[in-house]
Amino acid sequence: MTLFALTVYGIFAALICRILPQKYRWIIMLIASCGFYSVRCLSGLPYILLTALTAYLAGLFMNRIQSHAAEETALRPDAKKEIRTKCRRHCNQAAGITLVFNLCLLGFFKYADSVLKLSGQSPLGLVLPLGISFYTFQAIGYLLDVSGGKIQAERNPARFALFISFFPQLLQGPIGRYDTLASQYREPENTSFQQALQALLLIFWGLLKKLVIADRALGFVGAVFDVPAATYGASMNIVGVLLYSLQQYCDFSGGIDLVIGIAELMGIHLPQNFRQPYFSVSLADFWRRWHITLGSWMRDYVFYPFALSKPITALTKHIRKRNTVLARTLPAALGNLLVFFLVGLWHGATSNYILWGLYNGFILAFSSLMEPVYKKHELRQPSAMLHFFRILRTFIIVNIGWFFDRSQNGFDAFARIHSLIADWRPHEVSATVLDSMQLPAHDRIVLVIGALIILFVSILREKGINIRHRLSTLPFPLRWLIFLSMILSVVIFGVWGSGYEEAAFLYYQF
Amino acid sequence: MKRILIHIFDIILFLCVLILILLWLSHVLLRKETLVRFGGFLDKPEQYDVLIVGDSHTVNAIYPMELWNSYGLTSYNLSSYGNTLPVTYWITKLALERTTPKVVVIGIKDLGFPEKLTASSGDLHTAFDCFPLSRTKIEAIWDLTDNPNASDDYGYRFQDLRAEYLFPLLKYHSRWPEITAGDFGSTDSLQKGGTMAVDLAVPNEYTITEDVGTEDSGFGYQYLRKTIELCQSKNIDVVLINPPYPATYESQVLDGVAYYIAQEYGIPCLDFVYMDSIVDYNVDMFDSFSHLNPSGARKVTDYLGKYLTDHYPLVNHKNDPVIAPEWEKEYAEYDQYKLSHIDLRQSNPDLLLMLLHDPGLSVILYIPEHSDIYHNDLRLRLIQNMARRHLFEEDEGMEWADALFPLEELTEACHSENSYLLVIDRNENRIFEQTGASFTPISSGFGSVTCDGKMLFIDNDPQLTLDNDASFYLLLYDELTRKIERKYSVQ
Repeated sequence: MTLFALTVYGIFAALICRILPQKYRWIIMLIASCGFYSVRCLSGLPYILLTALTAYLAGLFMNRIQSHAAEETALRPDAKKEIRTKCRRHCNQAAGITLVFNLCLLGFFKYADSVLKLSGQSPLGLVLPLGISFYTFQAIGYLLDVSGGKIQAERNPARFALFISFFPQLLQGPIGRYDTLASQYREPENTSFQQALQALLLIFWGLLKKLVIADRALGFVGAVFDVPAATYGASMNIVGVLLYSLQQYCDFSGGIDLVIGIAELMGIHLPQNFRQPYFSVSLADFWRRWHITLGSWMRDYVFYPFALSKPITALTKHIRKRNTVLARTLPAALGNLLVFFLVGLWHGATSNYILWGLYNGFILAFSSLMEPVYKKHELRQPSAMLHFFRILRTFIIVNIGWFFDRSQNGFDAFARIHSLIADWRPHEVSATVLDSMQLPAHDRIVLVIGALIILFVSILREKGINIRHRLSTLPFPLRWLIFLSMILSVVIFGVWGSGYEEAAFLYYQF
Repeated sequence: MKRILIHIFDIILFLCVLILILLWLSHVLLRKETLVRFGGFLDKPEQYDVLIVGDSHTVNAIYPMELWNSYGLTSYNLSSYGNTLPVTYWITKLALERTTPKVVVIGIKDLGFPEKLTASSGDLHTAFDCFPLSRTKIEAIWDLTDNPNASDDYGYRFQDLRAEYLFPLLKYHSRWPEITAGDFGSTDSLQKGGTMAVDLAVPNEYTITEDVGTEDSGFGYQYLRKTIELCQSKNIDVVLINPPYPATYESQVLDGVAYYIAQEYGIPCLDFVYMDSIVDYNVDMFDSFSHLNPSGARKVTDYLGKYLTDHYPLVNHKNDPVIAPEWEKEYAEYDQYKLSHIDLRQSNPDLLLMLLHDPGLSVILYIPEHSDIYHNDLRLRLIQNMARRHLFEEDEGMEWADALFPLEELTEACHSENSYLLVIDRNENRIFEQTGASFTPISSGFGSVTCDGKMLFIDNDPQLTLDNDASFYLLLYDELTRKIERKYSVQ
């Protein structure tokens, strides 16, 4: 199913939803999700059903234990603590078993072939079930929330299946939370004409980012990074990583825009996943703006549980006697290291991804440890120049990280970073060379114009301007002119048609 | 309610504008080859008495504008590169939905080709892109791509490309860096589907065989029958044609079946492979194995024109006050186009001489003494070819050599290496030649031609300086414009 087909499919499903009464719309969404999954990844259907079934049953089980505990507490108020402890233990066991089972499933599909390759055996040639990471994370979040008593378990298995399999999300997230989505699935919002226009604007904007910019840069980025590091010097590596930066952002955020737009047409408001990440003033800020739902998921289900765990609390207590500042910052530093190690591992079981995770983790850990020093020297009224400097500094730090993310392996990434100091080769970046690297002049022009438009839109958003709302309320000739421009830009300048491998979202593979 | 109606109106208006823009874009971004081939037909389909359908061999073998010039026939060559018989059937069907000609000429080369399509997906685009979307076009694409395993040169399954054939914008949306001002205007179909393939090749060895294969269930036979039946159901006469080429044994055996199919339907089959004296493969081939160059094409076109006028009630429209002016105007443009081809080849003596086998051009050729051309067999053969008259049906049994105006003086000049003067007067169909140290005036339709060894004169007007440095000299007199159009000194 191409992106266009997905868009048309989503719009069609939304139209059918709109015709039906609100309380039946979730059924259409579920049917559409099953249809989508069957077409895109029939072989993965048993696994998503397995995850949905195990999480659903575990949720019900935990709910029953919690209800029993509540009833027992009412009868024996004096044994409240004991009952609660027992209840928590049973819930944790149920959640833990389900969680481990589903993580094993995810781990098997993601890493089995890599492990076999490393051990010199022939890989199994496993096909990663569509959206396995995203629906597993959603299921885990759900289990832990039910286990912690934050939410009530879903009783309707079909509605729970929709929460796990809502089709726009399966491509590359965002990772939804049950507490915000369940009520929406139960009774989706009635999308108004203005809202539908805004959703369509987001869809076309997403297509534009993905097809016009990201896929245009794809060939060149591959030409730089899919060859040995020694092939190019610093100049070409810098151009390569900058274009990878652009490609990755447009690919991922474009895909998310498309997904959110389709969901909005159906009256479902999915969480935002990007908030102008390249305007971040620090790496921590970057990770609060980039892949927001993964960040918040990691924060709630990995970082805090780890930082507040018994061993870390004990360690903190021990250190506090000697150094209170260190005791306060150490859990965050260790938590960041763990989180980004896991994020790196999640991206892939290869050295470059793990190094990329650790690179981010170490910088964030160091920042956590140094936070008291920063605060001490923080200016009360930071200047615009300083703000710009911080943005630039963060941009450079992030881009150095992308070398690990995009290179073939850790050595390759180090070699490229080393070239930035030792091997400049400025003559390499010439029109003739770029032409031969799948980046002819007309593509360069489109990329530059596209990047400037994205920058302009990002500045407006950063200033808090709701562009979609403004555009959708313009007089209709102007509004349609903008729609036409977007659609025609996608049609003419988009990289699609025969020869284009559809659905090659960077995050699709995760 | 009013608000909903406004929104609906709003959306409909937007969609209309969007569709109109996409249609315009589709035209601008379309590869223009398809319009060059078929645009002229689609503009005025009803004006053609003869339609020619087939593959690249037919494209390069039959020139509609020459049929007009020589016989006053209005024809269009709807053949296209890489067309198989199934494609030809669907092109014929699409064409006959727009017009009912008097005769359809069907090229039958590669009758035994086992697939519905060749591996060139681009050829199918050329054949279909300019036909607007219609039920027949959808049927055609679906039928031609019904084999799920068939794929093109790039490995794409034809079935995955169906949408691109129905909506060419899907294919050409990324052609924007290539567009020029010409993409925004209309496209001329100057040659009305016929195409000059200008080159000279040494032909492959071949032997004529009497062996004929048997018709199997192959698509070629099946669709040839369907095409004939389609035409006959509309009372259109059908002629099968196999343009001349040095066919392999296998090709002759497979294509020979067409003769029996033609017999079955009571239609003629002009198999030029067996009439190999019509052309001279040594000077008439574009490539070594199949396609004709303009010299060969003019012989086949002339033969076909005479055959059609002799056997079918086709009207010579030369005196038709409605049709003739427009066609004459178009022929004048075509004539200039031919001259532009000659200009392009003025530095290539072989191609230049080959292109002068043209009924529209009278030629004055002067070869200085001791010219190197006297030692060049191919060029001497090409000069002979210029002076050749065509063979026709009633000349059955004649050999190629019989068709030559005997250039006896040229043979003499080759021996003596004296200067040589040749005047070919196409209008009066006469040839004059002289050799020796001095020349007497030659009276031709375009004036008295004289030469004093230093200068060429027409009616005592000096035309071309003969400085003896060149291999030969040429004056081209255009029978249409009735003036000397080109003067060349060829090294």
